[in-house]
Amino acid sequence: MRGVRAGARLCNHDPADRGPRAALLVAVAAIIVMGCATTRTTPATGFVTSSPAESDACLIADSSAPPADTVYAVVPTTDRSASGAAPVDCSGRAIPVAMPPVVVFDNSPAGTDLRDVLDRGPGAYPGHRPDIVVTRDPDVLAYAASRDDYRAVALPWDRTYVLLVADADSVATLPSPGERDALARDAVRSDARGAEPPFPWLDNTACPPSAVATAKSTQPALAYDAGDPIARQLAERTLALAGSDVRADWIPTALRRTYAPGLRIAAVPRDSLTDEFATGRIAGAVTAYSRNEWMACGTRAATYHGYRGIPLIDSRAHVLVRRGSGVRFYIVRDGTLWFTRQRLP
Amino acid sequence: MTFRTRLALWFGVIALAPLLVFGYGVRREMTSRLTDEAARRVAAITTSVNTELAQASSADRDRLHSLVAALVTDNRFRIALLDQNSPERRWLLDWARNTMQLGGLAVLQLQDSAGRILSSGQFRNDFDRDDAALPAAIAATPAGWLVIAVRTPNGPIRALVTTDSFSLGERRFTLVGGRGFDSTAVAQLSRDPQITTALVVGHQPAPPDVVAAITVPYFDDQAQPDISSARVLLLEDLGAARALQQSVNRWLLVTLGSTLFAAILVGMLLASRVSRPLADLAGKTAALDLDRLDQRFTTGRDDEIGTLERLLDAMTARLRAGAGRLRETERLAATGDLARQINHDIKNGLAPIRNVLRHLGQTAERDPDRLAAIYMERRGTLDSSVQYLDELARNYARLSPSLDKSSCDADAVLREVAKGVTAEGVRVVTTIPDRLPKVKGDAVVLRRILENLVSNAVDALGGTPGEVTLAAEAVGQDLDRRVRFTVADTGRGMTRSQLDRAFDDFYTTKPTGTGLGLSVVRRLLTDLGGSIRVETAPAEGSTFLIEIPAA
Repeated sequence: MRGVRAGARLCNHDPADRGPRAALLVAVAAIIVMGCATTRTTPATGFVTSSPAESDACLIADSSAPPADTVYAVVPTTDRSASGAAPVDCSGRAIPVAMPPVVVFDNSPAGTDLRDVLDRGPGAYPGHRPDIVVTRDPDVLAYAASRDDYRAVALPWDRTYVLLVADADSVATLPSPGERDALARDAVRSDARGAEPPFPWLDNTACPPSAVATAKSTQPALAYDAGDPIARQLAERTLALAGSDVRADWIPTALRRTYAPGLRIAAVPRDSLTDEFATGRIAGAVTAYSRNEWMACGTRAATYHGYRGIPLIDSRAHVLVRRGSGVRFYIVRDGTLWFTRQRLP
Repeated sequence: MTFRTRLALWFGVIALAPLLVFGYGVRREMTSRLTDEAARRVAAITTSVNTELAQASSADRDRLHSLVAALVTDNRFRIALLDQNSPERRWLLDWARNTMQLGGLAVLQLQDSAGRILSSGQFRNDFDRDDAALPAAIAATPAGWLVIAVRTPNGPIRALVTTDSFSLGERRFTLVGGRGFDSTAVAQLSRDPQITTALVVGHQPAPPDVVAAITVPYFDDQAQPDISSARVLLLEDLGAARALQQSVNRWLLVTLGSTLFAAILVGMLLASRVSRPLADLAGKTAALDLDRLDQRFTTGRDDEIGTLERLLDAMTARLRAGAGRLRETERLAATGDLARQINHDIKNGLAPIRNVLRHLGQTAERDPDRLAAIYMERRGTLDSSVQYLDELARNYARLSPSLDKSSCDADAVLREVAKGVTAEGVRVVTTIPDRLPKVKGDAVVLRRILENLVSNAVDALGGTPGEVTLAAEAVGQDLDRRVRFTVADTGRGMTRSQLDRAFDDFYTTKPTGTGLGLSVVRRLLTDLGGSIRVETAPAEGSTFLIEIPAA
């Protein structure tokens, strides 16, 4: 179970969580060296709502992903490991355990090029090529697609990127589906689509806001989650639309007024967004909410009165599975990924 | 201002003047050379900056040309550009950024013929915005480049951009691109470490120490569209030059001050050395008088002052000799005149006597009996002649009085003289204060003075009724205490010429006068240490004021 914990920590897929490179390497080493049978991760991925395929009740396919690559084994419970029992699949069969796989996520330390990892293995462990790489980087995916030794599998749509604005009254309308699709198509380079309901965080009843005092922004800054390129690209597009003649009614008037020539984007750690809003240092922020209905409210960065979230796009990650590694992965309903090696490579 | 002061000041001025000229010349030459050098340097850098800007824009224009040449043959680019629904649209959106990075540019923007941004390297997601004004502004510049403030997600940046255009599928497209022109890039325009460069936009205040400004075309569609130019300022830190100038000024002032102080000090010493013997000479010269020509000037010096002393000494000697000769001449002249007068007077007095004696002789020879009668007849003539001669002798005797300078009672003398006036028609008015002080002098001399003046006053009336006033009063204080006597008449008075000669010996306007009265009065007063003053006008009478020291 120590291996499981290490794996869970490694796979805590928060875009703002960019731990030091050493931590990643130590964790991967732990997975490899300690012989943990199963690696579990919770990448805040979306849950699968569709029915299991007829041939295998444990396998489901995401209709938005290429059918050949997107096959998930649905695990009905998340607490098997915590209770000490061996993990089982949706049919109650025990998930086979063998050598733990080498797993790498794209929230690697800054400066790490996952393409190098695909080629040589992670950092201090050259030669240990990763069995699993979870990434949203289009360049890495394109690189992997050009190789024969990795297979790409799209994960469910797990994030919705929203524009948070301090002045809720300035939000006249939400972007239309066409505008959201245009944002997904043109503004971001990752695999994205226009944000699709449900948006539980739009409903204060479903996600009650925190009782945090609000402050009017005095700084012409539009924040985005530091280290999240998708959030940055959406912030850039929002900034561009706020200062251009392109029709975009969903751009809050507060941002348009603030624009002058001064509005600019600013990287802010996700954990600091609440403080930045509360002190009025930012006029808005682009951040990601989980699409998992069990986690959506909890992943909101700033959920207090007077603020409004505008859904922009949905995003999903891809899993690169090294061919011949014998690794399978399962996704449970809370979004946790389970990686197992069913046979030795 | 004394000679010594003047000499000291002049010495200071003379010592200071060349130093001032030298200091001014050094300062002027230094400033001129520094200014010329700075001007040459600034001109060179101005040329260099202009050249660099032109070369940079030319190089960027060449890059854009190369890009265009490659793009028009690129099928992927063609598809992405002409088909908005193409999957390559995302690639096109990224194209400018990727190409900009590869080309080493800071700005690269692809626009369609309407000015819509199709791909922006500096702001990837700024697509679809209408920015037609930018290529138009570039096209309007004479050199085909300008400095712009261009949007980026992190705020505006400045760039030096140019433009190029191309046609694809019968549609026109424009490329705008260039290099960054931020403060670092602007600062690198100057190769001279002493001259820095900075960009100032519009009416933005310029920093100090601007030595030149190069106007460049400027465009910022987000801020102030009316600003169409900016200035690349050449800044030179003039602190070192100012410090040098201040140092030179300070040392010049110190030098001038110390020189002035030393010059005045030396001038005062020299002036003292020079002026002291001159002051001595001046004192001795001031003491020179016709009656005191016994000064000796020689001190044995062998310099110019010694020469002057010897000259003055020689001159004094000549003066002494001349004065002696003059006095001798005067004495001889006076003696001659006196002798001739005496001779004349005696002849006049002796003539009747000689006539009487000749008459008596002839009578004794021819008619001795009548000798007694004739003698008696002519005795009056003899007596009057003898009396005349006696009188004459007394008058001449007055020319050499003997002085007694003991005190005398001026009040008594004045009253005695007044009593002696018996002429008909003359009214004598006497004004004497009760306590008239005594005078220092002989009573006889005082009487002779007053009698002479009163006699003249009576004579001035010319036998007509008139008034003679005798008065006395004390004047002055303490050691300068004197008694002033006034003898005034209402007679005919004197003309200016008469007054000028009134005190000359033997000058008289009276038929029977000797011309010695006022001359004697002046001499007697001089002997007593007194003075005489005359106020007179023709037909208005005369007033003689004499003052004699009180006892």
